[in-house]
Amino acid sequence: MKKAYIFLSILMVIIAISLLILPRYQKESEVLPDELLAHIADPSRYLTTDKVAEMMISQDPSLLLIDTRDSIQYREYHLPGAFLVPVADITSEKYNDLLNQDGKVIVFYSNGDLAAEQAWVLSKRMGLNEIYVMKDGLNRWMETIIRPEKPAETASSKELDLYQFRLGASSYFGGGNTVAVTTSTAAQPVVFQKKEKKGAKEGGC
Amino acid sequence: MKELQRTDRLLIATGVFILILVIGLLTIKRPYLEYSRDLLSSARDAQNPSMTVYPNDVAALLGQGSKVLLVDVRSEYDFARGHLDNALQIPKIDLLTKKNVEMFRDAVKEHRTIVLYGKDQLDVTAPAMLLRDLGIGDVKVIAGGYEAARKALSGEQADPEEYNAEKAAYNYSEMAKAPPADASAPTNLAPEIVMPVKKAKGKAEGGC
Repeated sequence: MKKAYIFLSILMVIIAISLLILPRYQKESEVLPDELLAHIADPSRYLTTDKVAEMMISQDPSLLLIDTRDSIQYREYHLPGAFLVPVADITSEKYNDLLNQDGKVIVFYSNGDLAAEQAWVLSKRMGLNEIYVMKDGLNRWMETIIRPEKPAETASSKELDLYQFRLGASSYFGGGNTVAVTTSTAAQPVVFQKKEKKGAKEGGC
Repeated sequence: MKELQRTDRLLIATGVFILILVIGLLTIKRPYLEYSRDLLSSARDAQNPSMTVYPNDVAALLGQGSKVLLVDVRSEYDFARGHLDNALQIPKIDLLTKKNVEMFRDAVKEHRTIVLYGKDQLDVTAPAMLLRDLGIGDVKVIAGGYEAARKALSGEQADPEEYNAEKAAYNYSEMAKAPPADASAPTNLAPEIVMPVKKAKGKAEGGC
């Protein structure tokens, strides 16, 4: 009888130890491969440079810009307010707190969009939500925001509106008008042009 | 006699206990796909240049015949309009079906190189990374996508640098500082930034 009790207590100890080890297996809260693939197949993570510019100008407090290039390129030029997190180091402890902030919308960018995309895949696998990629990266940023190209005369009004926005954004980011930058370091006022609302019922004739 | 019965009960209870544990361990839900590469090495390897095939090298790649498993991740429609010889069409979302994963694993066993291409390099960057993380060989991608490969195959020589999507096309700091070449910039009045707000349509707008 005593033997049986000893056996039982040893068994309990063994189970207790194995339970200690087991959680380490499950702790990895990584997104499962097939789930990750579903996210990959969904193109809604790509933001246009115009969208990113709009978020920056409206000083969206939830916006967190992440530069995924290396530190040399980052020092040379980076978007205002962006943080440096090179792709190769994105899993590093020191960026943990930066990337794991509640309520932040993270936008990755690089020169093109491949490094940003890779950073996105890694972060998605780490279980981050609300992460985006700036489509075509800084190259496109220069072409659309810093030096917007004038649309053809025959362009649609939508394109012309977009061009107007880009012109404004260009001077906001200091690409178009150096004078404006030197005279006021503060952000220029952003005016939301509200069109008058039409009444609920407007009769014809 | 009493003593013996108690031991028996104890034995039975222990037996049942162990049985339940064994059943529990056997039925632990194990996903059929698991990452074979941890995040750290995945991040370190992300920008390994040997994973990219430039358009000029596509002809040599196709020349290897059955040593290469070419996968087109574009839509069925794009595939029907034109694709590289011997390419398999697998939409991105279907890359990890059991059948396809087995096919990839077999291909690796036969020492075939898996090469993905899409409409551009961005199209296949994430899928290739995922496949590599799952331990499905060294999956390569074609820079510039289908169009670039097709052009290169038709004899056009392309500068690989042109298809290096991560190359800085401009001197950013210069460009962001300097005013544009045309001096038509407005005077020192900082222009207001106007964001058009779309008007909501009225509930009922009557016409004639």
